[in-house]
Amino acid sequence: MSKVYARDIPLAITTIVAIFIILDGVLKWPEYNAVARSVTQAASVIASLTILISVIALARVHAYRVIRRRPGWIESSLLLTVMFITILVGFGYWAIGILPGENELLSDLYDAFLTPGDATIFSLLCFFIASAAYRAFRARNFESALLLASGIIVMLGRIPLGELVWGGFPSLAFWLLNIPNKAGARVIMISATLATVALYIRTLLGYERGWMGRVREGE
Amino acid sequence: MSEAIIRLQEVDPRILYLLMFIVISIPLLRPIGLPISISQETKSLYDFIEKNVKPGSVVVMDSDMSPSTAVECLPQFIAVTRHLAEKGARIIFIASRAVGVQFIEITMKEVFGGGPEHPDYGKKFVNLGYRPGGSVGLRSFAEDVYYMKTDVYGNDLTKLPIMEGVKNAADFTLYCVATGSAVDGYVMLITDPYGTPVGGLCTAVLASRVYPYWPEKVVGFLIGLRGGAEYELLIGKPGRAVAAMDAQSLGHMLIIVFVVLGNIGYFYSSRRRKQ
Amino acid sequence: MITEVLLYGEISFKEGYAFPFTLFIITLIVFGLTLMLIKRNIFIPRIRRLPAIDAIDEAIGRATEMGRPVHYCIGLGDLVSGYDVPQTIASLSILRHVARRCAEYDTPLIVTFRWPGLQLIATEVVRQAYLEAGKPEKFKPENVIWVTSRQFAFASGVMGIIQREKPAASFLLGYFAAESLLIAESGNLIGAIQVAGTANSYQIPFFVAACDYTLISEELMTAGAYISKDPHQIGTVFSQDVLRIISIAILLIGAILMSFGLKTVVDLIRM
Repeated sequence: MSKVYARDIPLAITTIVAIFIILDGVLKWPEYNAVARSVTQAASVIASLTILISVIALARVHAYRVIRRRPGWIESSLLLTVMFITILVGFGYWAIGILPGENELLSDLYDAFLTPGDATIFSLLCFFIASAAYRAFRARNFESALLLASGIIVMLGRIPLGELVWGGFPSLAFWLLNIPNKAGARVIMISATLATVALYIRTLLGYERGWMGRVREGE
Repeated sequence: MSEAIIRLQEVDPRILYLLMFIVISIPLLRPIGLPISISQETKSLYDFIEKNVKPGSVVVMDSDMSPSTAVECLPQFIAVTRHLAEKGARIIFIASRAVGVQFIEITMKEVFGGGPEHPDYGKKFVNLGYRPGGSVGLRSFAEDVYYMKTDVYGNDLTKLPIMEGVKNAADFTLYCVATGSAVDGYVMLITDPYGTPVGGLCTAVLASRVYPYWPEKVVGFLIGLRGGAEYELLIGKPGRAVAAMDAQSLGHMLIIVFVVLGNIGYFYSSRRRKQ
Repeated sequence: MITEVLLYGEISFKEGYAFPFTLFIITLIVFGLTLMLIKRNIFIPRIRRLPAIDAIDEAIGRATEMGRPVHYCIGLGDLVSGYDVPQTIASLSILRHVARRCAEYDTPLIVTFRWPGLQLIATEVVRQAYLEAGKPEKFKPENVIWVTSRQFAFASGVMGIIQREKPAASFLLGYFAAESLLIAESGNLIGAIQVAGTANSYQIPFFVAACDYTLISEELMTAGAYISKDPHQIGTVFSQDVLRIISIAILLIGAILMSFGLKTVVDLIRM
């Protein structure tokens, strides 16, 4: 693949569009702003189409596993069945004039499977945070002792039981969150923003090329 | 005995998980009723609404919740909506993500007793539904609220009495967002250009990210379940957040007990190794 | 708010954006000057060691010795809009390096991600890495896995992959939200060496608690430059530090003036 096609053209498109959008962010020019808004919305629409590629890739991998009876083929067949039922329900009803927003079967499938599923997996965090805290909060050195102490103070300060243990915990927790944490959070936010600017400039200059995919080293 | 102390730092996580399950389930089934004090960031949101929201003030309630974050944010959302309804505010509900719409409908039912069929719908509250486009959509909405054109039920916004005199974000008294991701975008796109303050209804994990903006740009915020419980107590209507606080208290205490036990085991084994 | 600054006819700066735009021009000048100095060999910058990045090779080596695969998770991020885009770009740069090492050592690599648009990009990055290592036949496209688009379904999918495949090394680099601890703890339970990094500041404590090495915010973004060792890329990191010093100077001057009741810097920033 030639360098121009693989590197220069994507880079040129990225740079031109980036400057176009940056200027939209700072300039007040109604016609320009309207065009920029359309371009951004178009980008979101195009990005949504990528799901088609991934669904096909996923179906291929799992269908191969089912056909060849590789380990895990039962789970793969379950995945394919559920995926195609949902796609059929959505497109099928759309074909007969019922939009996804009005599709009660699709919404029931969502409420019955996805909502409880999301909540269940999220609730695992409660257990994992306990085991992670138990393992990580050890006072091995000064920094980890500081982490341990501030973690315990904030945890006790945020619960009614902590206030019963000592009435000063809530104020101490508030001080920790409002002063040192605020300073640290601002530092991280400013640093991350500066690093993002540097990353984007490296991207526009062609140094960061991971997002391009197939580019050889040294090109 | 010394072996037992050393083993305190290597407790099987499954024991910890089982104890956590027990310690959280019991108070949920049988609440203890521990007293809850009010924190400053919650009080500042409450005070702002008390002082600045008058009958007819326009407040936006943005539901950026998903089923996972709704556990913490929905009680906050309902409590603040109740407060705003009592103050006679005009409430514009909007969702930053598609799954957030269902929580708006739950809130309307709980606070007003109904949705589009309610006589005050379109006058005191309106549901604009999902606002697509992420930050671009938010910027467009802030520039011109009629960007949405209709509410979620298809009613033309220009014909609804609630939208009278509302053109852009500068006409809002407050923009409240219930979120588990970030308030930075809302501060950048609502507060900085239009001067409209933001009220944060956040998950507990987001707290450290919101403090830098408080109190200048985020006038007040509720942190997690505790924030929801505090607000319910402030408005005098304890609900599901208050009921769940006992479970959270005992859960935290269990973690602290195990952390302390783990450290005891660690220090004891370090001392033994040195000897 | 300070009034708009009129540029030409109907075109003006949006309220509050004149100063940020000026700062952006200053940024470009700083970057341009640094790169010019580097190109003429007048100045070659260096950056400090990042132990977490150095640990990547060590982790892959460990996986090779144990005969177990390496897992690389790009996270929730996409390349469309928002705070996750730079993190995803940074993650793809590191993926290229990890894939190349895995190809050289003949260690299986499993890549997972949430955004479907990464299917082609990640596949090409890994394929190219195997090609550069001279082992294109070892590349397995079925190991570049789009799990699903839903956050917690993605988390449970990745947890399942980790539990089944038992990687000896797990890299969690990119944009992570609530599922960060779920995935990190799963890796911990199987004894994998874990290197994690995200710019989502409120998830960093979870990674610090559950992983062996953590890249904090900007360290993730500079990882690509660090790995490449290219003076020009390191020069952009140096420029970022120059901007940091400029920001500190503005903050200090503003804070001192505010202490005397002078809002000069505040008004300038709001211009």
